[in-house]
Amino acid sequence: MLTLQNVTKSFKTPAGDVTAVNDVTLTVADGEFVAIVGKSGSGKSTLLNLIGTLDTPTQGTIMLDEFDYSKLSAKQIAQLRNAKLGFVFQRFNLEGEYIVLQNVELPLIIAGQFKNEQKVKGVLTQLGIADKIKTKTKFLSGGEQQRVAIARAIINNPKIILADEPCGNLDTESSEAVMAILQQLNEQGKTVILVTHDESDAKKASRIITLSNGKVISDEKNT
Amino acid sequence: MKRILKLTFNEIKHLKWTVLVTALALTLFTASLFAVIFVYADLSGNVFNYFDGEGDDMSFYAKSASAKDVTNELQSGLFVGEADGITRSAVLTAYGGNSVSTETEVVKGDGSVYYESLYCRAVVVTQFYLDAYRKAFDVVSLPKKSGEILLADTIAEKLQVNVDDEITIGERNFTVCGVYDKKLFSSLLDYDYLVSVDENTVFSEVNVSFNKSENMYNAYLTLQKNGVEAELSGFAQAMMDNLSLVNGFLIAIALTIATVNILILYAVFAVILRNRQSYVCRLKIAGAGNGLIFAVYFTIIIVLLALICVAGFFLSKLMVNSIMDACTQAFESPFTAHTDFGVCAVYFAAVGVLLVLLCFFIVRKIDNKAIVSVTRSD
Repeated sequence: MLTLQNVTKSFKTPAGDVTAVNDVTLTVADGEFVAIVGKSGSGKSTLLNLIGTLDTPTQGTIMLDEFDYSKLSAKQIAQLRNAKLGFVFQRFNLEGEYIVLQNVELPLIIAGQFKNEQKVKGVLTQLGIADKIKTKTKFLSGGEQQRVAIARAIINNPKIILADEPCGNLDTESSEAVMAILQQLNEQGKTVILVTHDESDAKKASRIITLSNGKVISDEKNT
Repeated sequence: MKRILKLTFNEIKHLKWTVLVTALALTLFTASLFAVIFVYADLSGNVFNYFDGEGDDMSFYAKSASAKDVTNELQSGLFVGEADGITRSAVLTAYGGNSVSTETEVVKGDGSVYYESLYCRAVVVTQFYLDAYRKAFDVVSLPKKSGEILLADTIAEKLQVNVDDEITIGERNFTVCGVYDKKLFSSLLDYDYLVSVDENTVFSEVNVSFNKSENMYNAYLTLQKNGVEAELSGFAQAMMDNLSLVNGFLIAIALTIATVNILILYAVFAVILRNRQSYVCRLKIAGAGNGLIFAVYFTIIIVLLALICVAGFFLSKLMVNSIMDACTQAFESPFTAHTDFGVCAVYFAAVGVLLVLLCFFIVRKIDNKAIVSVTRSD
């Protein structure tokens, strides 16, 4: 279970302090598919980064199961990120010069696993790109690259998948395919937290949280 | 460890051209650095060798030096100087009434120090000199104590004296301890007689020269250190000035190359990390800690540095050999330089430590802010 208690994130800018996330309190149960929506600048990505330990809150506490982020060392945070969190970004964040296998196995190597080809192949098969395993990712289409990014996110069997506008750079067909994969992963028991500004994507989630000026203005089940 | 090697291997494969070009450039720089150091280390010796045998040109003058001052430090040298209390000429008289006048007085100090006076000049014969003529001295009995005298056969004949007879020189009485064949030892004992004197005999001005000019310079430094006023001959001083100049020049070149080397390594490393910042951020997102990332780049830099040092060392050997061959031909004197792997090891350690610190600093600079910028959506 993921719990956020009075989480605030402020930035200092030349124009003064900006509060990107303002006193957010929420709980995400295991196996939920949550969409975080809101206008540009509403604090969605910042909130996702805080949940993903990529940024630290100015105030408040975030807990994943028994782990209180604020009480973990940098090394423990890195281990938590490796073992329990998977990230998917709009810009894929792949190494173009690396082949698909090298990109996907990165979290496994960090975790100390080295004979990964079969495992990677299994995940790629699930995502429909097993034939691309030896291809450099720079030669793949946007949709294929995003699948590789998803493969990398789930290869370590994380508890939560954090997806920040995963369809932002994709055509309609690829977007639908990616969303279908995320739904499928959720059905397999993964918690998925999706940041999107696309209503149709958000509607695929079981819960929609709307942010405005860093505050949660609505938190509804999607029926 | 395995994960560090695996990530390092992937990264080196990715950066192969950068690493290769850097390694080649820095190998040349490092080889040049080592070559300069090796040439520098042996330059003085080579120059001294070149000037060996220059005799008086490669000598120095010491003022008010006693035989002890000089001989304690200068066992391989020979000096000529103005000695106090040694007569320009002497009249030797035998008890039988025969007498002979000489313009030479040879006196012997305690132990192995001998003084030969020649036209008011004195030569100290040191152990080096004695060793060279050991065979000759073995067949004559040298004066062992004050009051003994070793005579040339020409003088003994004129005086009609033999071993154990007594003679006088001026007011001083001596017992003949031996007679030597002057013709046989002309190159060694071209004097009429030898007597012994105290080792504290003071020379008002002494010209010191050695077979090896390097020994001359070391003796000069030693005497100066011991408080004896000493001055290099004009030629030797000019040579030492030039040598200092060249040495200073070589040190400046070595420091410049070393600095450029370190700067290039740092710049390459900083550029790599800057270009690979996104990759480093991805590693962090995937769960790599600073320690792992540091270890990956540390391994790359240390492997690169080790390869550069080893290749540079062997290349520097070729460079040094070529330089020494060229000098040997140009100066018609053997120029040599020893290549010491220790220099390579010291350089590796020093630069390695410096780069590791820089590496640590750079890796730490890639913080959450950088990671968030990588993850940002359009």
